[in-house]
Amino acid sequence: MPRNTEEFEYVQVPFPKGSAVVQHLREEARRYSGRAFVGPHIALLLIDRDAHLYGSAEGQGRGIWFPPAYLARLPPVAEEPPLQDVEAPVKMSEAEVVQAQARAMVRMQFGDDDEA
Amino acid sequence: MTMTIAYEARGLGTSPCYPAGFDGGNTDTCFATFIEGQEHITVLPSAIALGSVARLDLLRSGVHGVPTAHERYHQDVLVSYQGVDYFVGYMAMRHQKLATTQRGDETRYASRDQLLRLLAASGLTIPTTAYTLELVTTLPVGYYTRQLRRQVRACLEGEHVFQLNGQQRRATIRVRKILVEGPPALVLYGADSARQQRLLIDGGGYTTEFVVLDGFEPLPELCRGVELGVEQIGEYLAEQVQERYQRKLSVRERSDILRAYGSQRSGHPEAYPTIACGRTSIAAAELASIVREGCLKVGELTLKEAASLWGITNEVVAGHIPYHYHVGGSVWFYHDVLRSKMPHLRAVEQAELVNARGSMRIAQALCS
Repeated sequence: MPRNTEEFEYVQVPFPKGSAVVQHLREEARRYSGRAFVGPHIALLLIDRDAHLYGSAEGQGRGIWFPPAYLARLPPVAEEPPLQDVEAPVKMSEAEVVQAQARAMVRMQFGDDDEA
Repeated sequence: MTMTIAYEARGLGTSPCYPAGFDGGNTDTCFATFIEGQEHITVLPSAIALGSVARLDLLRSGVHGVPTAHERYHQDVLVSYQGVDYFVGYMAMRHQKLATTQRGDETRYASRDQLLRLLAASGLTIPTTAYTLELVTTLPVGYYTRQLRRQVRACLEGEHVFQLNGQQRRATIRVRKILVEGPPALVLYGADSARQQRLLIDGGGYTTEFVVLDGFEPLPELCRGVELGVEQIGEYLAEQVQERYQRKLSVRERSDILRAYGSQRSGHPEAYPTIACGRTSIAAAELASIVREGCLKVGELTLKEAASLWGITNEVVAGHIPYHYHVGGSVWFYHDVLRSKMPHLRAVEQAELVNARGSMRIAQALCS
């Protein structure tokens, strides 16, 4: 397989045995009737993959790092107020509030209720 | 029990007028009103039986002898109406084998017995000889039809002359509104969720109401009534005692055991009755264990109904609805069972009184 050293750097990368990437490599190698070298298409994939995995500190960091743009935006759950204190029984509202609720309930209609 | 809401009784004809809430349930009857700015509540067993004036001498308490709802529960009550004498409440359960609460009978809400419950409870609560009630009452979801509402009005409304424990009384009743059971509880306890979607489970003696409201607007397609309630626990209790001890429980014994069990959680603990079985009696712990088994069965059935109606979101029944309320007497029996799949379900204080108390506030709003 010819190498284009002008445009690419060639590095050794370990892959898990039987992994999908290895299968791709083997498939590409068959096309070229040679050994399983990384061709241009797989190389671009690997560059993109490396950018995800090691792009944090130019290959020096060990941890997997994703740039912020790749992170799903989750609601800040911890900042939400608790729904309710579910242990304690609900206490009766103040008298004025009860009166307001009663006035609102007067207008309630259920089903075929036409007697409000 | 006192309230800070000032209400001035106003005259209507010759009798003072009171806003009133009435919940004549399959197990207990609850009546609430305001008298001179204070809330008064009466709870009686819903049992009624034919009585006799001769038994008046056996009455152990006066008309207004006991001030609180819990103690008044055991009061002897005899109502004479249109020439017939009736035992009402605990006395009916105590003296008569044929006492009935009309459990599961749809027509009970528009029956003479229901009127007798209202007359007895209101007469015990209101001291004046003649009075007028501006009444709001409730019906189960499953029975909430236009026809039945009209029948209820026809049955309850009007002027009723009767005797309560030998005293002549006159009650003029005007039905201002008939609501579905459950939502009146939100008048007292639902202010926090007034603009939210919220659900209610109102587990009573024989029916359980599943109600969803968007604020104050009911969503009928998400509402259902089923015949499940505390009385099914009583039936299980009676079956088990019969099977294990060859002992038949009376209606009164069954009621006393259930009340003792529920009272352990309600803050007013009552002792279990002695259930004699020949040479021995059934231990209270055994009675509690049997009732607990019944609670698990009825609670799980209730959960199944709720799940089929509202669905399950992330293993939580009705998990998509933010506010869950549990009201009715079932709170004291299987609230924890329901919470196993409805962790946001909240019981309210004095859960067995909410329909009458909330209805009374609505009646007050209608009168103002």
